[in-house]
Amino acid sequence: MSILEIKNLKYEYSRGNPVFKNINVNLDEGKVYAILGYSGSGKTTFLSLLGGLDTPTEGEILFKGENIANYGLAKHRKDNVSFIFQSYNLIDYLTPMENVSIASKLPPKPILEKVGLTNEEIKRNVLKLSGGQQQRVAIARALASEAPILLADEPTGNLDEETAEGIMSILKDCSHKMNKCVVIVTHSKDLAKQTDVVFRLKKGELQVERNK
Amino acid sequence: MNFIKRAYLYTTRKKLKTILLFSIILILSTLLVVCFSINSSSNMANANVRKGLKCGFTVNAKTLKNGLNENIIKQILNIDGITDDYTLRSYTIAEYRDLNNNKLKTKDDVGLKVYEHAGKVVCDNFSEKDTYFTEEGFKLISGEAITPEKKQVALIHEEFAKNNNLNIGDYIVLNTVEGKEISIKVQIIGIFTNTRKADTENYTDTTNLYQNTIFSDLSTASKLNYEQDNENCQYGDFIVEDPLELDNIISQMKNIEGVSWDSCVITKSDSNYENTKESLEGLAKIVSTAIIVIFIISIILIILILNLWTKHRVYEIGVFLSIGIKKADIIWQHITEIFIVAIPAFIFSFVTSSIATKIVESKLISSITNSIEISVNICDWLLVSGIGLIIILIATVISIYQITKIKPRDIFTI
Repeated sequence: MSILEIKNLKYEYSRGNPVFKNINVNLDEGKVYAILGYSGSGKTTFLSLLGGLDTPTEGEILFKGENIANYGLAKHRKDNVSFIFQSYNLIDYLTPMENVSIASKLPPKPILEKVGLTNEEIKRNVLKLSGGQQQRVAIARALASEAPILLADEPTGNLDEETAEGIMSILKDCSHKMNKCVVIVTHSKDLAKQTDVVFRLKKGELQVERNK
Repeated sequence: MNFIKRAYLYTTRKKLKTILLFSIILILSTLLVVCFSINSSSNMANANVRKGLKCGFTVNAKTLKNGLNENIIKQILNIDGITDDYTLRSYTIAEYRDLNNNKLKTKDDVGLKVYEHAGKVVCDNFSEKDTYFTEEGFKLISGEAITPEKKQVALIHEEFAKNNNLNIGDYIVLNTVEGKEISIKVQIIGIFTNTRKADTENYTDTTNLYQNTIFSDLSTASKLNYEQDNENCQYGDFIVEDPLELDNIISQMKNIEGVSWDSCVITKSDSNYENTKESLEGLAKIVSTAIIVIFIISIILIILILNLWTKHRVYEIGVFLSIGIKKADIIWQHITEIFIVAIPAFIFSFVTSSIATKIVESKLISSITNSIEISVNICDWLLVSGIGLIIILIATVISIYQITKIKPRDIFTI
């Protein structure tokens, strides 16, 4: 059974103007998904719906067969999904260790070391870290929640090529080694090439562009 | 990480904001505590001044026959707010004789002669409380004053004593000047003098001259007028504890039965209070206005600051919501943060307001009045702190609740 089943999903900002409609797709654990599309095509909105940050106009999203609306969106966000944002969205008055701790009771240090941060860096103020380091903290926070789904909105958008490669490598490891379902919204075709399945949001429809 | 730890980390890491908020709350609470303290102190001073002014009223029963008797006076003294400090008095005119029925010499070289060898007899329960002694400069130079237990006694002027060769312990006779002749023998128990000269000496009846005046007791007045051995009196002077209650007390007194209140003249003696009232109320008005103005400014300022700062934390709230932290947990974090700052500020305001009140007292209040000693009242401080915390709590909850109502996704698109 797929971890996420999206059925007849429709979303509109105003009545009669759907951003997308009739989306039916299943997402599995252990795979990395990329969602491509032009600006304003609804990629981030789609990701927000998967993560319970917003509610669809029509249709339903099932997590392991249960509608997330019935499960509770706040609970869904807490238990089932974790987010990685382009702008990292770290809490600026907390250290990397503390940023990871707000999401989980797991010891933060091993997780931060796993994403490549040094002992000195994990105690520094997050605003004094580089963009790549901040994104690693954001990934560590997402991993600490132990949620089976990782939703990343342009995770490498603010990073140089080399750093982006490193982040992408961590995300792939999350999926392939830790059996998480990773959904990445991106503009980058190069980044999309590294994923298992590529979707394109076009004219309100989600099309499969590539499936390994 | 629970909300208490997050709140602690926020307040300790965002030092500038914490210090700024702490300072704002400290300044506002200090100003309010100072105003409340001035208000309390001025109210207390006003009450003390009012009590010290010895305001009261005089009942003039006009005649001794229908005068105030012991029972009525007892009922008047039982009214709440009347002090035990009262005087009863009657006035009559008597001719003065010695025990051999010889007329005594009185001063008659000035003034208008109506009765010869006669003078005014002032009958008191407490002679030393009589206005002649308290206001007009009479002074007892030997012997003792008249008190309620002393009967058929007299105080005479030193000049009258000298001219008639009278001393303490001697007896004189008081005779009626009109109507049925009644004679009362009184013993001299004291000799007084006047320290000031009467302005109206040349124009007054000789009986009113200070040298011809005799003080006696109330029973002597009754006997002299009616041959009755009672202590009815014509005038009663009563002092109230608080001039503010004067009218109320007079109304209560008029409910006492057995007195023809319509034929009595009741005179309020509250001119001291009326004169002082304006200056007392002036300060109270200034302080009340200051309290209202500072209070309104404080509320507006606190609400604006908290609202502004909460809006700056909208992304943080969004992140918390996106990782599944409950709204209530986020609201509690903000409440805890504000309490971590506000509680020490309110506690510290006790010290700062104590210092500030001393400065205000020495630099400002002392130039207006010396009758107010300002000190920080713990009840005022608790009141300001309590109300302050409630306002801050409400302002925090309102500002944070507005943000938590927004969909988490919309927070990231703000």
